[in-house]
Amino acid sequence: MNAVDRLEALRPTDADVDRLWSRAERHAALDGVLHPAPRRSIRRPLMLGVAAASVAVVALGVSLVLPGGAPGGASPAAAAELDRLAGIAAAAPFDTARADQFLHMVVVDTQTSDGSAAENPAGTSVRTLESWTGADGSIWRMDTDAGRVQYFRFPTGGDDTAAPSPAYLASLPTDPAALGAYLRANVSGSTSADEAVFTAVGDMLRGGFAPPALRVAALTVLKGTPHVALGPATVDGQGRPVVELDFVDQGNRPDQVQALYFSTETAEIVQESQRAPGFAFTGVVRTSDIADAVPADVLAHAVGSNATGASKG
Amino acid sequence: MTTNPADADRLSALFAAHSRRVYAYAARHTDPETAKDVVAEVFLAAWRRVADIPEPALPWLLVAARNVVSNSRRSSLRRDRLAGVVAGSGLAALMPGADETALERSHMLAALDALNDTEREALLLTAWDGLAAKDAAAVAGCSARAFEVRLSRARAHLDRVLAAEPTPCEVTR
Repeated sequence: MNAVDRLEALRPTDADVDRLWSRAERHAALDGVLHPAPRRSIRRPLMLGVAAASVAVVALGVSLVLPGGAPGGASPAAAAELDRLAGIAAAAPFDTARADQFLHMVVVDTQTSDGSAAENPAGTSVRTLESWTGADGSIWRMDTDAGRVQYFRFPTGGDDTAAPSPAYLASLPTDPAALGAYLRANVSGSTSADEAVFTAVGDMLRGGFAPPALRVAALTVLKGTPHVALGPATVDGQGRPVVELDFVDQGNRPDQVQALYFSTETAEIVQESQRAPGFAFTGVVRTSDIADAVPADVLAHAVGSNATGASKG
Repeated sequence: MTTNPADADRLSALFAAHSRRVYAYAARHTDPETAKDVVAEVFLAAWRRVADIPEPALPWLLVAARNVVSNSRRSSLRRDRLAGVVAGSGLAALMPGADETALERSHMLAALDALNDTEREALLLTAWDGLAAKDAAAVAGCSARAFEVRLSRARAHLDRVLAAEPTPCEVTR
């Protein structure tokens, strides 16, 4: 038997799936699709740890970048702040890692839940993620969670707004209209195209590899994105001055707020959050600097997510 | 959203025919619990576009699942691509664990882990999801030609990896 035959022989059967996803659950899922409760959100609250891939609906289509502050764009207050942030981004230094260096970040994730969702136990949990990202996008990471330390290595991202490589970011259009059209044409998922664009902008600007011109363009795209509003925070969890930009779509995700917090000094994302009834998640960038090397213990212990090992150093 | 009874019937039929395969796809890209949500979102999207879904429908549904998974991971997952680790848990959970197959399963999991993401996905889209190369290419987000090259390399890589390990018979002999 050749390798592919051996693989096919291990194909999950319906019974294997049924073991993980019962008939009753399937019926409930179909019923939920065909007969949704009023304003029901299928997406469950997020959870910290391994199983956090929350879900959304495919939303494809192309539309133009709308003028900020107009109906169909960001709120006037948000649009004004986005203009200000774009000016800051344009003038901010672009200190990114050289080919032999690493972007070093420490992010503290805090999740609080009242336990109303089964997968989110009641209580508060805190996880610290310390990462070293090479110029090619490879990531080494050390997670600390309740005293438990885990090491990972992740291969570079690709031509994908969800996990963009630095090279991909450098290739994206820097004209706001062109970038907006590109995103509308290429992002999918999320409850709406607007939400997908908001999410994509966060993904592109997170991590410090987006060039200034792209940052300016991305902020301008947000200005033309419906459901973007100015949030209440003026400082982040570290006490740094920020502008909070929220995505709130009561029609599709009632009572849920996704927020990006931009530094008013650098226009970089320094905090993110998601809030829903009974649930709150916040990720705060505590450190962001350039390192010359990945620590030896991280290199030694990192486990590749696809057996890439941790040989770089 | 449609309210046509015929559309509801079609969606129900699609769900009966394909929901397990969509679940299996989602579980290997996320984890067994999150996969349930992914399936729900995929069929919610299908319900909104039921008139547009081509036949065969599975490739369309898997593209939708791919998009749901890849575009909606929570922020920390997006940040660090932990999804790769998560996917491993779903993959292992899906594979049969009977005694007589446990060792083979273990070998295959190790071999799949030795492949890169695109190679592994190319193999599983064809061997497990049963897609033709052109349909698998759509799910993988590349051209049919690129997919064929990718699949060929993946098969060769899997052959090499498995050949380098003792077979279950050799181990138990």
